Amino acid sequence: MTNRIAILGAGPGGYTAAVKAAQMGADVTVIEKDTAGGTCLNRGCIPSKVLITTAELLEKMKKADSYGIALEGSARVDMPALMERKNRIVKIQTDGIRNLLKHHRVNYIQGTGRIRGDHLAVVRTDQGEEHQVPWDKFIIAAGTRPFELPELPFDGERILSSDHALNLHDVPESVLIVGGGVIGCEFAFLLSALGAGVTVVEAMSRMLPLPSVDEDCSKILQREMKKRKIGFMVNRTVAGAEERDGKLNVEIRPSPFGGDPSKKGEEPYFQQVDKILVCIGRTPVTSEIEGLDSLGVKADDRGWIRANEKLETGNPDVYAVGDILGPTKIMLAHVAWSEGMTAAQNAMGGEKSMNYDTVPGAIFTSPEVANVGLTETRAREEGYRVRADSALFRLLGKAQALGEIAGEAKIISEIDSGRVLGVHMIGPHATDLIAEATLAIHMKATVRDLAETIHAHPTLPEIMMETSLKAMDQPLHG
Amino acid sequence: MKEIDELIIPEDLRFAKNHEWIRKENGHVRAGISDYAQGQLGEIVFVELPQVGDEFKKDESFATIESVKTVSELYMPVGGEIIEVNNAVDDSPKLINQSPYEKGWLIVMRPSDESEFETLMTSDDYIGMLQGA
Repeated sequence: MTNRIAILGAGPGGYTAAVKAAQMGADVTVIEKDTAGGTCLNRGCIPSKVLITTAELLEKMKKADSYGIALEGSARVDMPALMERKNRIVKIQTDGIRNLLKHHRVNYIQGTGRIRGDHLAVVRTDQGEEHQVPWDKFIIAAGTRPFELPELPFDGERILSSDHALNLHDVPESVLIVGGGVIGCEFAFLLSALGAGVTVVEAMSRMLPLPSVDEDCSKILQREMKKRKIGFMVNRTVAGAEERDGKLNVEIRPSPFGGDPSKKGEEPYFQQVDKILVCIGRTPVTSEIEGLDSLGVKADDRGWIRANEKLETGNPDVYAVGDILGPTKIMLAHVAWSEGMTAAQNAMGGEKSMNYDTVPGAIFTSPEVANVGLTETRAREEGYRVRADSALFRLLGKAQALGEIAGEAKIISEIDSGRVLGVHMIGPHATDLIAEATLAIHMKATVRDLAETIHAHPTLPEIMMETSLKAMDQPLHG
Repeated sequence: MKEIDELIIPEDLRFAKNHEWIRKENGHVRAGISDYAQGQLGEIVFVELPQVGDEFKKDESFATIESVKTVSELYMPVGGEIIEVNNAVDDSPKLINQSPYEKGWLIVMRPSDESEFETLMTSDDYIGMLQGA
């Protein structure tokens, strides 16, 4: 009977697996070389949301007069105070995870873990002590770190990763962001609101060029960038940068990836900035896990660990969860939670499988972008006969009262049954509003179900009712 | 909102069915949206203008205009290359409401096919269309 489970990494995947396995009666050890909470809590979701909250408040304060507030003097960010607030909030959450693990009697070892021999891990602490952790089942939840470009090596001063950008002491006068994906776009709005001049360079043809993000959402986001004077270039890449007269002289070239072929022969363009923030994705730490090879765990050529829907690797006693599985299994904290629960149950003899069909995506730009289910294109590719209906947030009294009218919601529904297959939003609180859509898709609800559900007035969720009524050809307000 | 007979519809302009106007100026064409269009849109909050050098065919979308009530695409009344855009409406989109034919103009273009002018309405035709609407 399995009772000793060792977990490498205490991020969302690892700590959830630990709690679940402990609840099922296992003797659990979690090995963490950094701080509990992983990327999400220490270098990702949570610290960035703390900074974004301040940035949005500052943005509103700059428009105070339009809200009927006469502000004496101007509002400006106090970076040391903001960082202090961020660190305090992160610590509350980190301590919370440590306490949670303690409550479930999980053995937590701070140090670098490696595999040594059969069913044995060894942890070396910062003090140089070694702990042996024998295990029956092992769960790899070691995560990723920011991907580095050889031509733009991180120095933490001029060329930054997202880790560095979450610990800025000052707002740079100008920053060029390499990559217009989720992280790049979130930082673009954040840094712009804090007062930096921002330019985003994206290799593909649009901002947020993710297959899960509806193209109209990208289009509206780009318009919002223009409103805020955030510069962006698509179909371009950064070839390199050199220091000149105290600035970085950045060379921008036409993109070799899928970009506009007419731009291929274009001359390089140079832009001078104070800092470069590289947000081109993340890379697994697989190769840094000593002894992993001996377990027979398979990884692809980029190091993403291969696991099936039960999160089993090539070794029957080893599971893998979280970001280290790579983009094919969706690198999001809430997916890692679900994977952690699934892997723990399977390690304890269960037969659970992951379902990645209904995973909401939440992007904290301004306005926010959120999606769940299929895009219109994907739905058609899968053979569905679908219709796409959208409604503008500015139809809602609540959006008008908030002074946040930009954006829309779009529902992709099956023509014959009315079943909701996908929902795509950009607008105020879109990341909160996607919860109703996620439940609708999970429960195979129809647009009629949504339209006939009474939604409180005046609230932003009315957008789901309005859009559903449109999908039934019975629009109420527009 | 103004009644039709209160609208300003200058006689020297030509109009497209989507309420864009054009004015010929030394071989170039200046364009914007009509008094009727700005009134229907209500308070305009943003216009996403094209870039100088962009080329569009007649009826292709060249800009997006946002008001407190709605978001609308604007379509090229005639095809051509954009040679100037009105940056003043970028900072002050209400200029379009206040002065749709003068300070609130949107683009100047070099038309690609002058025969397309014939497809546009005179001021009288345009008023007729609005009265019939």
